Amino acid sequence: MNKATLVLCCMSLISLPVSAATAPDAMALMKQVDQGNRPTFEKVTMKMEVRGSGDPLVRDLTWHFTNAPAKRTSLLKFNSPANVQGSGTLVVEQQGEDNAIWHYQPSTRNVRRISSQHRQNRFMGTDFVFEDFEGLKLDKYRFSLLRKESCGNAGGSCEVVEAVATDKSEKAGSSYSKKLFWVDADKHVITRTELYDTDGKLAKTYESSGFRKLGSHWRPQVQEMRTADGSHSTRLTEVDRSLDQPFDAYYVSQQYLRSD
Amino acid sequence: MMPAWFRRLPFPTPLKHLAGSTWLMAGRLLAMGSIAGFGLAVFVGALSAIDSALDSRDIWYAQGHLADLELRVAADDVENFPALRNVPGVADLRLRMVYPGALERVESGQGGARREVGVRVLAIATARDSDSTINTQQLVSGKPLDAQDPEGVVIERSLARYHDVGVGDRLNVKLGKERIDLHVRGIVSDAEFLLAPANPSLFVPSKGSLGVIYLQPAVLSKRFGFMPANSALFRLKTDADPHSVRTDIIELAQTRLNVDHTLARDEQFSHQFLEKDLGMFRIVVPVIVMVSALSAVFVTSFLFLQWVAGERKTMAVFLALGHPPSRLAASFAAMFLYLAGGVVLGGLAFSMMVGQGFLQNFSEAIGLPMPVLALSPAYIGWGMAGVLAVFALAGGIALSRVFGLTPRDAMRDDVARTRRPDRLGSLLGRLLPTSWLRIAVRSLFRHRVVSLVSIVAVALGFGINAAFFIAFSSFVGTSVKRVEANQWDAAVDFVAPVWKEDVERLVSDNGIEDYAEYTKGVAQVIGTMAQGGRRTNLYVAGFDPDKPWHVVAMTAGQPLSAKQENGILLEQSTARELGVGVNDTLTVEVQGQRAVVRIRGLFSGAMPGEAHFTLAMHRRLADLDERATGLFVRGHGDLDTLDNSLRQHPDVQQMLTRDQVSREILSASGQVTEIIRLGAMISLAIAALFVFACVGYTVLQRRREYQMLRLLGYSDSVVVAIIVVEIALLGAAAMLLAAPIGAVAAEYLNQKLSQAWFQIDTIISASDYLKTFLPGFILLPLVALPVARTVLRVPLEQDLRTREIS
Repeated sequence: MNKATLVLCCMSLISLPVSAATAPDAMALMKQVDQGNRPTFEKVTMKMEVRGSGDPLVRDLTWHFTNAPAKRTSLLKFNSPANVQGSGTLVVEQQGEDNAIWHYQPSTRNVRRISSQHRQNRFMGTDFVFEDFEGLKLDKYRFSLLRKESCGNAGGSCEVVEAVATDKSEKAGSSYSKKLFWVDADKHVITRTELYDTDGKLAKTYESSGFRKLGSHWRPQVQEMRTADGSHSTRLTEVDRSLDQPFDAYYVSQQYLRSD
Repeated sequence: MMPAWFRRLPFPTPLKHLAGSTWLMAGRLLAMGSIAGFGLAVFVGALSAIDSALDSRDIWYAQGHLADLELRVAADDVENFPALRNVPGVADLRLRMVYPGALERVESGQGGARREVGVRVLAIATARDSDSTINTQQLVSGKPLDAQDPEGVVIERSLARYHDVGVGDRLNVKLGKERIDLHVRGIVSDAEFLLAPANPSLFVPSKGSLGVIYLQPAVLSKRFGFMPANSALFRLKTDADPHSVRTDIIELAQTRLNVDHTLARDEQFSHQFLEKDLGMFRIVVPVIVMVSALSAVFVTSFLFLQWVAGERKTMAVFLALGHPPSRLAASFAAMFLYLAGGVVLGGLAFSMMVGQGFLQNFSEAIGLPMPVLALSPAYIGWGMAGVLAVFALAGGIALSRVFGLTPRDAMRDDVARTRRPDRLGSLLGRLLPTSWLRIAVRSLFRHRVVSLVSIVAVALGFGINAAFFIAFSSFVGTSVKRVEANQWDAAVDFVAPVWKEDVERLVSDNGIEDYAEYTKGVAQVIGTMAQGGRRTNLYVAGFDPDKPWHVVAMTAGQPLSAKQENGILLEQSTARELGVGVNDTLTVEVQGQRAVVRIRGLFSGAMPGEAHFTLAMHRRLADLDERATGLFVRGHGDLDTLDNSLRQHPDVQQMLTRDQVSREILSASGQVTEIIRLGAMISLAIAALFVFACVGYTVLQRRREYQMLRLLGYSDSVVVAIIVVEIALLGAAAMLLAAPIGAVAAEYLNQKLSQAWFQIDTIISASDYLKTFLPGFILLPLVALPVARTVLRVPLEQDLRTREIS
């Protein structure tokens, strides 16, 4: 079942509540999470802070999402500062086809197609890699319920789901050997993700917090990806978000991607 | 008269006599020695200079620790680079970012004066702290980079040389969309940019068209938000197989990066350009040497025979006194040997001047640092052997006459005095109205062999010289002709691939009526398993087959066709190297994508590895859909206005009109012309010396006849005129013969150059002949003056007293 969804990485920057109240199995739970991320239009403006040993790098970005029955598209574009202004990434997930990712760098004026092997490359000096921008890829993973525990800072009770790639090329192209999702049992959103490297060691942790409901959708206001040793992190803070307000298809096109 | 101390020397008397007799023919011997010495000097000097240039290049490579291999990828975060250092066979690695930009303004550090520059630059920064010594720069002046001074940069010497940028100057550089202020801390030389950095991505890589600036990594990381790199430099282990290491590097790099191409040291533009340019001289120099050698053989033989003939009576006396012929022959042989030694010493001294002159001109021509001249022992050895062979040949002929001498020769008269003009000479003489012309013509015919050989020798010298000028003019002319055959008015190169909609906007904003997009990039031919999977770089240009505005010299097959998208044109020497021809297929790889292409045709190109793909094919392979790296413009009336407008456009790197390209080619050829002119001067000197040594001798033999003319009332000026006319006539005859020799030799040189470089059409023009012939017409008659002076120096009454009049 090739219903890949496009969200900000598998950690689901956008999440939707689901109506199911009974305890689902792992795949059904993840489907509900996936289905929750399908508003026809979504636009979000964010502040990105990359924290390391020196002063944090602060950037502004805008993200456009569209969802059609068989196709999901997202385009992230940096607005400021000048050094990254115009840089962007376009992800297209078409049913029955491999995901396509393009990255545009104004400094070299080059649109680069990110091959499946290169999805594990670091994104723009942040703690994200390109594969983090892809959907859950339900058909390429085996999901297992491990336990139920507190969602931590996000509050509430969470199901802990383990995801291991079963698809050969996914396994070969991913920088992760497994992922653990903390799925809020009520809101059906992912509040925390642990990402394990190919040696099975914890590499990074992703957390979402400050969930609020926009129409029928739950959305986090703050998300943060942290390295396992805590030495480096990237925090995304929502500035503005609109859902189901139509915009021109240009904003999720190659033309917009390469526009300065 | 022999000095007393000389007579006391413990040498055989014949040898001492011969040593003394050298003074009597010092001028001619000097001329002969000069001819042989010139030949030796050109052989040793020019060839050593060529080797020295290549040796110096290798030394600079070693001093600068030039990388064995460079991997070019799409700019990426250094964190994304796989562990390339771990590839078996890799000894060292340096990651760097090579970032194209533009130096827009320079503010002098001295007076603060500002000026607009507009030079494209490469900003280079080491991507990561590293103790690697690969591609290290040598500080020429000022200070090196300092992490405490992030805006301080060092510049490559050519930026200082061709654009007058110095230490302390402030630079305004455009990098991406930003303009940043930097200041120059120092000037460096870099083995990677030995030639004045030219931008090979442009249609004409003109000298100094590209500046190089070395930055602190922080300047780039601050702008990218991460430390980018697009170039990995490798030092390979000495026992590593470069082909397999290269393949392993590419395969590993492709797992994380978009690989553009790899370049081994000997595949670099500057390396290949140097090889090709010097290769041209390797073809030309032996021809000069051969002409010198032939002249030297004749002159030396002639003079040695003269010497033996002149000493015939004395030698006969020595025979009568009991000296065996072998002793006389040994005395002559010893003298020949001493002379050969003198020629070798003089030739070697002059070879230093030839070598220095060559290197000076050559290095200035292409912006190379001045190489250190070292005379090659091998060339010295071969040169000495050549001189000895010439002297042995000439000496052998002369010595055979010595063995033919008998004591009775002491009583015989000089054969030469009996020479009379033959029938043709007499007939021609009768046809001529004035005595000074008639006598001159008859004199030439009286010494037919000497005259004929002189004419041939001078004709060879002048003809070959004219051939050099013709060959070089053909080289330049063919390049210009090719450019002019193109059907575009201007070629516009972009900074980076530009999207279709931006091209359309640029075209409409600037009133361009018609245009054709093109793409440029690098592809790699993947060799078969039998070839060890070896990769060969192709420098690809993608052209629209329906707009064949860019004309190439096809040598086989058909031009590009839209009906055969994967049909390509390949540069002929590359096809030879790959062992392929028309209709053969090649597997090529561009950025990790492989495709099979079929060779539709071969063409002659200036650089090896050139290939033309259909625009559609190259776009598909290079992921350049809807993009172009440049465009040809046609039908824009005012190209200057267009140039001014496009110069301001952020996407445009350079616009060149056909006229500008032609001018660039001609300008770049100036210094090479100087080298050929130097060769011409040497040939002219050889011809003059030849005439002096051979024809001058026959004039001197007729000294008594000229005295008779003086006795009959001919003024000295008429006697001088007779001698001048004789030599001028000889020169004129030589020029007539030189014209076809020049044409044939030029064709031969062009064929050789075409095999080594690109197809050159022989273009013969009067100006190339005049460059050699005009100085010849002026110089040769001047040779007559010292000869005439010798004739007129003897007072008439003295010859009357000694009855030396005939």
